[in-house]
Amino acid sequence: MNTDTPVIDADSPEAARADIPPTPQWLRLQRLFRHTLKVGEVNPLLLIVPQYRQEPGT
Amino acid sequence: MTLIQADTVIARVCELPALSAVVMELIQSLGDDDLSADQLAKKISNDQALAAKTLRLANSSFYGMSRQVTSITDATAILGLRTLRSVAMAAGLAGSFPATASGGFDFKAFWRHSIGTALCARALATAVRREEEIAFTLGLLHDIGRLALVTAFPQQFAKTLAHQRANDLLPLDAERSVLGTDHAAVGGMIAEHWRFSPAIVQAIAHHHAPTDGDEASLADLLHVADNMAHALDMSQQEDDTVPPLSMAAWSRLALDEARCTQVFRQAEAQHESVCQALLM
Repeated sequence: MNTDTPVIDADSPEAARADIPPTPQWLRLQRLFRHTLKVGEVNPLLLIVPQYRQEPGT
Repeated sequence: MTLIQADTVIARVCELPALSAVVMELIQSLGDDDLSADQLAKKISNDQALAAKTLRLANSSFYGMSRQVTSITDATAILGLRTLRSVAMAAGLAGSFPATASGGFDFKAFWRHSIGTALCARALATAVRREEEIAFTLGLLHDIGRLALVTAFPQQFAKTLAHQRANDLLPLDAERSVLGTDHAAVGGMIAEHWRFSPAIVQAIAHHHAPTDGDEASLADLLHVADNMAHALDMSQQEDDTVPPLSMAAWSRLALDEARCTQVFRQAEAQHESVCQALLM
């Protein structure tokens, strides 16, 4: 299976929480949004869902 | 590539175990309030499996009933015609396709996602003031093309799944690459073949690519609800992924964070109880 880590944009939520250790929930969100992140698509849910899940740094 | 032609799809779908006559009638009667509550109760009561599942769902925490509903007649009086119709359709659809093993297709995850999309669509419909019953039913039906493909073309679909996993593709891209068609197009054909209303056919066929327009359509609502159900991980399938979101559809629905959060809370609060009632 191709599980290449997507390139993370400097303005992305991933960059904003770069110093915070990833939680299992955060890793799962990254996995779910892997195609969005890979091609740099705009999807407001990429911001709203982590905030709803109360992920640290969001 | 194993191209599947449109006429072959329809021919094979005709050979599939049909949706029960009651479920077909219920879906075709969507939006028609002339169907009387008595007629509806009789139709459901004549199908024992459907009646049992309908009662189980009516008694689940989804509907928050204060007392046990013990008969379909009771359910009609307590839930009302529209709600009972959507409960019975959900129960009937979930029981219509046998969960036979097929190349790693996960039926449980499929239904968990479909139910999640139905609940997101229903909550979204409330938020944007659209018909909740139709939205719920569309959520349940939106990936019916996938179910039809795996049931009617098990070997070809197994190749599609293998190709998708090996290359970490979106399901739609893997289907187009291996089969030459995709589940949205097939779903639209099936919905048309089953003589569902044009609005339902259009919404299913375009749920991954809503057409342009000035006003929010059912396809927009379904598209965003599907995206939300993936983003909320409602299928719990390890390789699930959020498909591309149409920003035009998103804008037409005029959603903001507060509305989304409300939709998420409502859908997640009901998801487990509906899955338990329908997937037992």
